[in-house]
Amino acid sequence: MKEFKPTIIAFLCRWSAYGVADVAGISKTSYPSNIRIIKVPCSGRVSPLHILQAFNNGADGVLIFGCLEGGCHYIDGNLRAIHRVKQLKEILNIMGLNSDRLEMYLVGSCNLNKLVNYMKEFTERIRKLGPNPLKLKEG
Amino acid sequence: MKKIAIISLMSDGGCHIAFLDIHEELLQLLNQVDLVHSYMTVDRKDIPYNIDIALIEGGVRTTHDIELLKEARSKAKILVAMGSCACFGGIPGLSNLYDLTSSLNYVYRETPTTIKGVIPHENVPNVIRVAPISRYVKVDFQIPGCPPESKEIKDALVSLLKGEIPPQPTKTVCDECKLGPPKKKPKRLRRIYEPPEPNTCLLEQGYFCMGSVTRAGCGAKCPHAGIPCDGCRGPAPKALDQGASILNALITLAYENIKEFSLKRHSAYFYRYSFASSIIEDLIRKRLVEKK
Repeated sequence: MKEFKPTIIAFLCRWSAYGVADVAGISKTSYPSNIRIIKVPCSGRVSPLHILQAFNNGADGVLIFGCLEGGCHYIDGNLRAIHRVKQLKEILNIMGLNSDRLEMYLVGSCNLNKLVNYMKEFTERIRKLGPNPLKLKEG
Repeated sequence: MKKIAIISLMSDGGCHIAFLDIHEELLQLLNQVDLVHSYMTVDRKDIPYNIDIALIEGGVRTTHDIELLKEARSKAKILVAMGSCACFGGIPGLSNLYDLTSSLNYVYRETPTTIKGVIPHENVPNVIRVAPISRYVKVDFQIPGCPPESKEIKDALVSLLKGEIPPQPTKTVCDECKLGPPKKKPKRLRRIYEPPEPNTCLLEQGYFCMGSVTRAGCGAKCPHAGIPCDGCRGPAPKALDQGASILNALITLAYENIKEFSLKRHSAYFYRYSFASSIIEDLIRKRLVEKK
């Protein structure tokens, strides 16, 4: 059987996580290649609509990175994102998706190791959960 | 003489009444057209051939509805979805929150007043999940609303008869409302029975007003009368999905002060008219396909 390669959509805040992920190449560290990064101005920009649509289009997991608490460039964007994620996790279970498929982490703007660890940890978790049960079979 | 037919699927006839409520102007309209099929006004059971405009009232609930809908599509040149049930699934769409067998069981067997109930199974069409008609046939034009404004139906018919496609509103109810925009964040959640303050945005006072994600065209009648908008006209073009968008807006506006609301608890409010065409419904349907 072919090894399962999860498709993970990651929303990265441009003020912290995106900058950190940018440096990954220079510092010669690597993050899992199946993570597809989307740059957002702030984690508060990520609407429930984006997350639901990601799952609807076949993502196996959705990851959101925001700034540390109190460190948001737009005052409270990351706190809003935390609330959105909390609300969505409640209903993911009803829809037959494990709520572990959605996660939000807070990282500082110079924590490369932390970011990479989170990414690896999440990829491993999704690999254990298996593919998105709602993904339409190909062909 | 052009032919118009009104075909009724899962519905309560409210849109039909809204059509008849065009009132005196209906007489001018009837000079140009022939109403050939309409169960309230015309005594004809079958759908005639070569209809110019077919107005579909109500969504799809049974296999019979699908047959009727496909027949209407094959006989009509222009097919118009009239009312929120036809456009988005409407209030009956909320039954999709529950499993089909469990809701049938509840309705026919488990209600407190039922003794030895049986689910009807002989000579009746199968019940399926509620769906907007656009899931089964091509829809040329939508007139949303619960019920739609009579003037809107008339305007749409007049321009469709001329061969033009009437313009669709692209704004939201908030754009038409005189009360807004909200000037400060709401302090607490309010229910409809509490009287609102005059000339203040309802969202600002703590009511769940769906105006910011609902399509314009009604003139914001409900907010002006002190009743929060419940989103009967479906999602605005840019909102895509009413519930997810209003959740987004509410968290932005009120996450510090109001802790009670959640999508799980208030899904019947956020998705009152558009659950059957929401992204969540898409996800549930895919899961059901997977199970088979």
